[in-house]
Amino acid sequence: MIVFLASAAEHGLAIAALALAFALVYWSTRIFFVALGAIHVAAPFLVEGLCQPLGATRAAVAAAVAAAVVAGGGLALLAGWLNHEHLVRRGAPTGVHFAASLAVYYILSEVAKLLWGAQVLSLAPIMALSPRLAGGGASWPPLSQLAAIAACLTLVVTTSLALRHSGQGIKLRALADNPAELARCGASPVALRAAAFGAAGLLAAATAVAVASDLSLGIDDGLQALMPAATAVLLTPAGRWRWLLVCALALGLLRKAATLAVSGAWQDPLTLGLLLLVLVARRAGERRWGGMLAPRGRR
Amino acid sequence: MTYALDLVNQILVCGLAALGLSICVGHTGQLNMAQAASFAAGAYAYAFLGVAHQLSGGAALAGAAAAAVLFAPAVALLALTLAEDEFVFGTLAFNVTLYGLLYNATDGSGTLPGTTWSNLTNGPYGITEVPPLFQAAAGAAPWHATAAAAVVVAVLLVAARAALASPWGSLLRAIRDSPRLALSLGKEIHAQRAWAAAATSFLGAMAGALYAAHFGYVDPNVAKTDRSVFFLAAALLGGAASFWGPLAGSAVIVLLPEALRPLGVTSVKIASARVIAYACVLLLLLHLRPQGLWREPPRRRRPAQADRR
Repeated sequence: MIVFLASAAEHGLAIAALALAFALVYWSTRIFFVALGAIHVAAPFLVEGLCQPLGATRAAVAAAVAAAVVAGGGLALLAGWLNHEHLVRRGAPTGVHFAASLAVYYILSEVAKLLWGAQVLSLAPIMALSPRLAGGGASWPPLSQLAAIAACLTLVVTTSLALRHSGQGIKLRALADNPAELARCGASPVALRAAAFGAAGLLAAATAVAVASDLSLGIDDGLQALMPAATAVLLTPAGRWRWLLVCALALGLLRKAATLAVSGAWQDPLTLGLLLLVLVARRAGERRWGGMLAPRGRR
Repeated sequence: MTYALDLVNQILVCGLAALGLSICVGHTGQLNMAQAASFAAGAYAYAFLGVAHQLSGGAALAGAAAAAVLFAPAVALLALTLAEDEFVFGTLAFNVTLYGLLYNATDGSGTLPGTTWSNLTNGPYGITEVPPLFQAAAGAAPWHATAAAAVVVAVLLVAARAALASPWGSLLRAIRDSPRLALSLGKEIHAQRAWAAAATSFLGAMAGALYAAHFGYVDPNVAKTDRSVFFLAAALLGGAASFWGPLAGSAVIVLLPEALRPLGVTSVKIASARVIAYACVLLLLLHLRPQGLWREPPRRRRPAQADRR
């Protein structure tokens, strides 16, 4: 039971951290930043690639992790600047942003595949956090899992607090509501959008490193990893960060329960089937009952 | 000869699916990411009927058409209820869900797929020995099957052309260009979008059935999201709102990796280069014509009768 709960918590917190990254862009710009998935899975490969010439000392690993996270932020910033900013200037609809982001996702993940091969990678050997805790006669989760939980929790809490207590959170909300008015007040929507993309990239890369310190991530798994996070964002009313965390944790629990009850291969059909049901029921309800069922953020 | 026929078949299959997608993307302005799901539905329906029920190619194709009609409302329901980015993500989620179902609907027993609920799709191993449209045992030459596929595609093209040239086609384009105006004229825009999504799904499923008949094998990879992107790139490359554009785009996209072969690039690298090329084409088109992607190419107007006098 302890092992199951730890596994669900790890998965839920990883979804929460990635969902937070995805929501940073989606809630402020309505852009589906799918390319985030490729940045997410590339980060651990970059850490391993950097560790090879530097060696596996603590300092080298820390430097490689920092470099990979910064590279993730930089890539996201670049994708936002070169891809979406240009489309925003040309007044492209959200569907075009989605397709463009998907194209960037495929380019990044295929380039990563050419660089590192179609393989899966765990950073556990590099991080050297494998010993299992013992005590009380119960089976305890491995130290690497506890470290991943702690790292994801730290990322989620730090980002949430930063958004709540700095001016950035309210500015991002203003960007979503009325970018023209925001520009008239002296803030730059372009800089804010860039900040949202950069922060999302940093967070996604950091989450991947945290998760990969315990589990394996495949170079092809970007979209698969992003889907539950995007599901959590779509199921939550816009701007409700706490609900987003609750939803992500619930999804983590549901997915692990599905793995336990049937098999891991049922995780995605269940999650996305649930998303489809909720989306269709919500929109059908809105049409029928004139918005009575609409979440508060969308009325 | 066989190699050339194989390429022709691939272009026909991809062209039909891309043309179907262009009804949704080009004529209605809705980005549909579930074309691979419809493609897989048609391919699996043909394979079930051909393998589990031992039907001939023609009968299995007719059955696949019936299955396509039954499957289309699922995609139409998404178009009826969801709009814009939710529709895009909804169709993507639908695609991934169907892929998961096809992948998981097996107990690994190895019994004939489609005959029992426990081993419906045979999971990742897929369904083999799917009958072609014409059995070689009956004395049919390889080109007979390609010719039959071409006839099926031609019939569907004529039907699609007639539908798009009809008042319904004009209504779809009017909804795409100005949904508010169409709404003010009393048109049911969601219902029309749903019909367009159903037509898209039907053509995608028929393309899937032809794919299964040609390759003789289907597995869950036919429902992968990559395939939806492949069809989208083909549709956009030729111009999604033109009739012949998706077919021309399909020809380019199918022949592109063949052009890379003489350069000595390995098959793994070819696969990656192919995906990167599609994605670059898609990206370039989206940036060059973000508003105009869905629009028809400008037509030269004939001078009005009054002007000629």
